[in-house]
Amino acid sequence: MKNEAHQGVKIEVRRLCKAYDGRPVLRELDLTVEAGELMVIVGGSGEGKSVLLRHVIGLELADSGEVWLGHTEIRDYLRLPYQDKPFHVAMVFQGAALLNSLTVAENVSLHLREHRLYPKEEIRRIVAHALEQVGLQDAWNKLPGELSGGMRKRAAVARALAMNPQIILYDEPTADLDPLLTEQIADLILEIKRLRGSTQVLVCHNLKLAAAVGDRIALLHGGKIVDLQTPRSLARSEHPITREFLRAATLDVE
Amino acid sequence: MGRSQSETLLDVALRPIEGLGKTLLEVLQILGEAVTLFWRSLKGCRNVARDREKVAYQMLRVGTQTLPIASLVSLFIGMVLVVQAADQLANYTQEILGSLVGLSMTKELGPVVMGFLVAGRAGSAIAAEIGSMTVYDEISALKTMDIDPVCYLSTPRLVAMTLALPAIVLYSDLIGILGGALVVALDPSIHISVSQYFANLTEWINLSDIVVGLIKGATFGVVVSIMSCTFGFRTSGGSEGVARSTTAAVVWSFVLIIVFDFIIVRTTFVV
Repeated sequence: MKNEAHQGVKIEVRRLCKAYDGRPVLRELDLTVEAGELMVIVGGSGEGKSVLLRHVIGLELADSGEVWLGHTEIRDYLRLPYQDKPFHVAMVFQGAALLNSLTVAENVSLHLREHRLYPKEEIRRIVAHALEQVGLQDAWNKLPGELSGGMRKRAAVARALAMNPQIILYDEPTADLDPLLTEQIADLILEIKRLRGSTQVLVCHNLKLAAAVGDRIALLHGGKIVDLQTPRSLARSEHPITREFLRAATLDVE
Repeated sequence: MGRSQSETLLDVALRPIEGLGKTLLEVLQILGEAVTLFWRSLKGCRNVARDREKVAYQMLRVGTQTLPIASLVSLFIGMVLVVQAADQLANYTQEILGSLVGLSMTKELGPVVMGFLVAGRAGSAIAAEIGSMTVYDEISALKTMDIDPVCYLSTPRLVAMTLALPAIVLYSDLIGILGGALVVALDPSIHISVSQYFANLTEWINLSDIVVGLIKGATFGVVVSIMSCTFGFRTSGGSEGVARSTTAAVVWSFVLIIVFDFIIVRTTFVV
């Protein structure tokens, strides 16, 4: 497929610090996500998980520290015009963040149309493929307001896929979804990993989902990654904060 | 104890000054953001030919939101002007009614009232729309797709409103003048004919009077669109924040319309 990436890009976060109104949220945070890896970041509310994602994609800039995407520092990456970027980073927001005045197809094709990347027919094909991947072939002309929560999330994933990204970030993709829809989204994320090999970072509270999809799980606490393990080894971790978190979440990865 | 009491009193005494300083800084901050947004939106105009569909859509929105109420308001302004002036002029001459209504409408009431109306209807809608987009991460989503929110949202609205408001002002002038003519035709206390009303109007109104009104309209279009977008982009704090931004956008637009009205009047009088 012309519009399909098959290689992820490594993400390196080095000594990242961020404070809001003098209150530190991220404190010299270090994290490496290997190319093609699916990293899940878990942690309590207000620990800065979404803030970390926003730094990785460049929506916010660090007070100090660096974010490297492949061989490019995020500030340099942001300066590049869209067409000159060596790879693309997409993000699926917690509330889907679809533009309410546009139909699903218009949302999915938005960046393609704005950047005039392809002729109309090619854009149509890319949108059809992305919607097919998320199972929303019949929602072309629907407005976001006409979709259920799960469909909105899937439309947001389709929009991300249409960017042909080498890195995909998910901010609480299953928040407010019932267990069946959560499973659908988990399957979708695994399918993307299998088909595209993109590097994926997923932020969530749901340890069951984290264990089901993640290659590794990172626990964010006090502005730092305090534990980083595979799902299986995380369940046996002796780290006190991990034990506490697991107890609260009653993780079952077996 | 005494010292700490005096410090507290000093603090209390300084509080209004501190508040004033904060307000002043906030005002300067908003004006700075508005000027920056205006400049960035202007730079985005180089793509306006490409984005003509967006501009046309925004113009249509401004028109449909404003024209029905603009018709009603303008009609009644013209009618009220004639009724009030006719009463004042009863002992002098009512022959100047046409020029009075025409000049009032074209130079002042048409642009200012339409500016207020557009700020209240379309401006508030823009602030609420962009405010919601900001709060619900839609602006962030645009940024992740490398789409400049200013070029995508602010530029088409700036161009549309700058073009639409003069057209609405012209329409308002016309309806207001017709409203005046209607009263002249129907009110028995007015002793001039409709043809005298129009003759006096065309005798006194110059093209420059209409042009000044149109310049005002275009300026107010810039003011309303930029203030609405500025407050939309600086929205925070959920739906309550959207409501706050919408109100602030309308209030700021009203104040700046009056300020720019004075500046334009002063400038045109000097010229």
